[in-house]
Amino acid sequence: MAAVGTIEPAAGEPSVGPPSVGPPSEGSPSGSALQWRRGARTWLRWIGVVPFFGYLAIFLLIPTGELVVDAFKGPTGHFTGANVSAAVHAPYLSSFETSLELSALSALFGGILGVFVATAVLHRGVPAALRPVVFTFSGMASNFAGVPLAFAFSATIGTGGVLTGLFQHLGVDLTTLVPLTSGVIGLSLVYTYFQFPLMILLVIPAIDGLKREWREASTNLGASTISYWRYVGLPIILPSLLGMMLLLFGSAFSAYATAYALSGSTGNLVPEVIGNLLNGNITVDPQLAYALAFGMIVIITVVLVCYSLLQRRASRWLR
Amino acid sequence: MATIELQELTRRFGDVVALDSLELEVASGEFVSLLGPSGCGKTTALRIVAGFEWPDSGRVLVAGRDVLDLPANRRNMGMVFQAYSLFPNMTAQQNVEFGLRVRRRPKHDRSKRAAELLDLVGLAAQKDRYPRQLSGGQQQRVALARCLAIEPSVLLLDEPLSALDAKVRVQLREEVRRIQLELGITTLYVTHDQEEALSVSDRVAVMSSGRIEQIGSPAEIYGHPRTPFVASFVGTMNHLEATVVSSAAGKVRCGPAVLDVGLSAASHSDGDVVTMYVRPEHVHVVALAPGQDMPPELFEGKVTSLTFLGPVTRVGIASALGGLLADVSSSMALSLAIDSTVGVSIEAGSLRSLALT
Ligand SMILES: Nc1ncnc2c1ncn2[C@@H]1O[C@H](COP(=O)(O)OP(=O)(O)OP(=O)(O)O)[C@@H](O)[C@H]1O
Ligand SMILES: [Mg+2]
Repeated sequence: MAAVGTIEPAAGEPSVGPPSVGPPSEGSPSGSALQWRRGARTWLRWIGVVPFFGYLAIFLLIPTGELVVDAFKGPTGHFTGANVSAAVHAPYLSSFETSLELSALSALFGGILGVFVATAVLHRGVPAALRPVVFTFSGMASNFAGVPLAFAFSATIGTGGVLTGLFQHLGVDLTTLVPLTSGVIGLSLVYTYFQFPLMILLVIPAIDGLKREWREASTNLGASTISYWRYVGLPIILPSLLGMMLLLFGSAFSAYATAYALSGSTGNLVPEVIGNLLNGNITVDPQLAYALAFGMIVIITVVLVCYSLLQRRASRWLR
Repeated sequence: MATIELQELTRRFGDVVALDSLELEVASGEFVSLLGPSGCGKTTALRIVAGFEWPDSGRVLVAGRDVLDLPANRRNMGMVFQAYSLFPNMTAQQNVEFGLRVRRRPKHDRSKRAAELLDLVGLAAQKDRYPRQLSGGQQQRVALARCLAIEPSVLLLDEPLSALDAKVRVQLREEVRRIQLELGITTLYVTHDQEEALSVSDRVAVMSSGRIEQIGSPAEIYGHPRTPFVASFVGTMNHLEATVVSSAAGKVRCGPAVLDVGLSAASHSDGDVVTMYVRPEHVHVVALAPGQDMPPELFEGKVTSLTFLGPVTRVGIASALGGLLADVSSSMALSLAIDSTVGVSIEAGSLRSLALT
């Protein structure tokens, strides 16, 4: 696996669904030539998406299927549930817990911070010229992960980091306050660095979807800014926000490179453990690695299902 | 109830002067429409009153009190927007209750008041519907009920009907007027639809380029336009170039004809070139039987166009006076054909120069 990872596939996939094409038009009684031409046209409509489905099959469906099958195979190729059973028991269960905790925390931090920054940028009083700046920053920062990000954080608040040194003069030990390499809190702060710009990119369209009239009507009726958000703004975009935080969750859950760069082979996140089991830093057990990966797939699937349910709910009021 | 006074309101957006020393007084309980073409500053004026926009200079007094330093949510004014202003996550009833909810009124009072108002706008049965389950007209009724719930000092409406079908529009404007009269609430109503403004207002203020060109009752605005802009913006108007023959006797020459008109003697002298105005309904057309001579009291004209408008047909006529439009009953228009020769007369006293005061 590449050392410099970015946010891994989960974030990109959910928006991808089969294109909605109406039922193929039934041939009218006016002759088979016409029918044939209609059929051909229906086919033509699909041609454009063929490469995409090909790509999906080769790089997603086939490997996933293979992986799932392998997860249930013993070393000699016979069927067994032992790998999967081991994956959900100690010591591997704690990897799942750590990964889930980290993903949830970083999604929460990143999500909330992202919403605040996005609302601030979209505020009427803020010059519109600031928007593209924030967009560009968000686009860049949301891809800033892996070794460079780990280095940036180490150099700032790691042992011997610039801020750590400054705080030492004040008698505060930053490395115990914000431990980067051990503990979920420190790591989720690092993840927040790429999570919140991602949230900004995701949430700006949703906040833009709040009509100016709603805000003005509520003000006109005597509501304060807080009342507006409490009774109108937030209830309307909450399903979207939750959905987007699920995406952040997914992106953190499958991220690998940043954690690996910070903690090396001692990390206990599921992707790190899988990496170790595959390249044999401690033990080699590819079957167990497949079982762990299978667990990840199940979790990501649950996330995506929840996401699409929330999206459906969100579209009641927005769009 | 409250009066509204706009004093020398000026608002610029860059080079655009949206309001140019606008002056307006609305009496307590009065219904005044701001009527004008797109971009003349109607919305800007209304939003300044509501507190969503600020003037560069000038004052806004409501009930004699300057409101410009009050934030919009403390002005206690009811505003109805063009469309889509209902909160989509609340039912009709909850929308109407909203203003009372943020004022922390007890639940019982709130729902009682909301029920009364939904009843007032004829939507008691739809109280549990969400906005997306209501038609455009019903949504605007809810919006009206919602802003009346807070017992606003004044009612502000910005083209509240322009997103609706013609039929609903007519029905709803009458309802707005009925409710306004029932509550006696001071109302400022923005529209670019002259028929709407003329049909429901106590007074109409015709705006152009950030100023009020003329303000008066619908009959005054229609019957006695004071500026060329008002004359051509409100209704359809014939313009005739004429020369004053005798300002004392009120005679002008128009083409070959000398016409008796109402001229204000003080403002014209003999020999002045003036524009005279006459409405199409005051131009009369007589079909001539074949071979009939033109009666001496009529001018000769030739039909150039016929436009069916329902009860009347608008006839375009080329005459010695110039081009004229005349409204004739559609049954009478059946006897007219394009290019036929007709006799034309102008109703006594209806040909006017602009009313100057
Ligand atoms: N926020 C703004 N920024 C820049 N220019 C504005 C702004 N608001 C209004 N204007 C300009 O001020 C002028 C008056 O606008 P306003 O919206 O008051 O017109 P209006 O009479 O309501 O027109 P319409 O009938 O189209 O609604 C227009 O030329 C408009 O372009
Ligand atoms: Mg407007």
